[in-house]
Amino acid sequence: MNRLSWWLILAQFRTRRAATLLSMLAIALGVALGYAIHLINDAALADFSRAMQTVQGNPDAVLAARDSAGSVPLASINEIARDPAVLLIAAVIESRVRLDSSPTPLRLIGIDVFSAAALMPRLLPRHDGQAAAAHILAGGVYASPALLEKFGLHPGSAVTLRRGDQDWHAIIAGDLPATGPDDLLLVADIAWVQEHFGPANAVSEGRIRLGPDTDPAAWRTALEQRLPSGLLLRMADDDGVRVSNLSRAYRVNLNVLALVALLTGAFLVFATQLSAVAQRSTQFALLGVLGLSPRMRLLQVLLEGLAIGVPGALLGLALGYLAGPSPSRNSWAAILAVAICRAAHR
Amino acid sequence: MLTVTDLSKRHAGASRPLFEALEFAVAAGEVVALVGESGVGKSTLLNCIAGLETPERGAVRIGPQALDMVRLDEAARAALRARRIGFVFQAFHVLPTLTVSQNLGVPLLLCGVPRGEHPQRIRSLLDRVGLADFGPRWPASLSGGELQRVAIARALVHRPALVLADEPTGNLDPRTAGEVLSLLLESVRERDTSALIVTHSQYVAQCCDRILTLTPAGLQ
Repeated sequence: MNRLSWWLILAQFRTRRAATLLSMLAIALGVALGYAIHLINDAALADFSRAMQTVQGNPDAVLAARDSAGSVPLASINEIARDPAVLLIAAVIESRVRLDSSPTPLRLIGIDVFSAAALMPRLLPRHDGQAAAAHILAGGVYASPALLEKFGLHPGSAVTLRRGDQDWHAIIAGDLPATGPDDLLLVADIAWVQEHFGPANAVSEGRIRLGPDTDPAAWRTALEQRLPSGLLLRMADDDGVRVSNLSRAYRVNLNVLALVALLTGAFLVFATQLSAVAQRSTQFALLGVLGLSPRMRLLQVLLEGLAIGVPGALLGLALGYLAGPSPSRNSWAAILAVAICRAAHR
Repeated sequence: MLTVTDLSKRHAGASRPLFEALEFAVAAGEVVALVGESGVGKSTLLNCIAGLETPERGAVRIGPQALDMVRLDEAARAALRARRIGFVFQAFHVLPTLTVSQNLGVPLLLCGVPRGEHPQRIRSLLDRVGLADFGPRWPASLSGGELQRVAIARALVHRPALVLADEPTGNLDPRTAGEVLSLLLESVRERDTSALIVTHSQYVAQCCDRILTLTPAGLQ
């Protein structure tokens, strides 16, 4: 930028003080809104994702064997349970059994009913008061409604679970009201399943809920360094896509709002510059006569726009940064997550 | 010096040319008055010489090097105007948002005069036009005569080969007009600069070295 450009820019600021200040503020406001919305959007999405996982009972991570036929030693489960970053870990044993004479193998899932409420609410059993059988801690087996319907069973029915050439007799103690219409599965107490189907001193997987202040990526990096080679840690990254889809309308609205703010600022600057150029058409014509080329005149207008836009944008970034973080963000994300879940449930 | 050869101009859509095959020259240090009736094309001729309008045909050469103004592109014509031509207008056209010194600095910056020379050249010209202490002042605080003196100083500060003046005294009262005209003629002559002055004033024309009259039939 040469000295003449500086003179003309300063002259513009001096002679059109109010219009220049308004343009700068408009840009600052647009950028501040856009940037604040971007920051809030990112933070709220992360919180929303966490809130959704909590509401839906999805774990933050799952510890499993690398080999599909392998298992997770109880020692590893216990070690992770002692990690201060871990809020809760729920062990799960999954086995394949056949019901009575049916040739179709079914999933039998052994859960710890106390931790399942927080991490596997979909598998929570509903005890039937009319059933003669004992409750889950005493060997009761719970079946999904789809399974009950397919096999013509009801609470209190006696069933035979078969694996290989071994048979185990059990009573249907209730159902699994939260399972899907196509889910054919049985749920029993983990100790009962382990006793009858194994494996001893091991489980199929451990479902983990992390503390609210834990950074999942950093925790994963630290844990993976000391995990036995046969085990792997699956994070809830894939769920992020689902949460992202659920919150798409919310994010689109915020992004459009940010764009509107930015475009409004840009339009105000454009209108101000247009009016400034129109008012100074004689001055630009004179500069052309004196020898300022058309290209340099265009450059001068752009430089004057930059002289307004750059400080305005920097001011806007600072304001946006200050406005971005909000203590009420977590509550809003949680409220939104619950509202969406309720709407989806209906 | 200025040499105009076979210069013709026809406005778009016009049935006949505004002027045709004009030929004349202005020697270094010579002041020529261009007179004629309104609408005959005096200002257009000035614009063609300055490269602000493109003639239908012809050549315009300014200064010692034979640079043909007509055949240059817009950027090159602007650069040539910045280096070789000074302008004085009837309505002064001093940039209102720049100080008097900055107004004189504009041609110096545009023609690339080293920055170190600016203060001395500006002081010298302001002193010459009788505005020695006016450097920091804003144009809004100056009278018409003072503004035209600033315009004359601005037209000469970068030592152009040619000064083009369009009715330089048209907006001034007779006494101020006489003072400004004397100043313009003296300043141009002492710097050995060519000058072409468009005027309706017989008095102004009589003060010049030569008078060219533009008529629909051509130059007389």
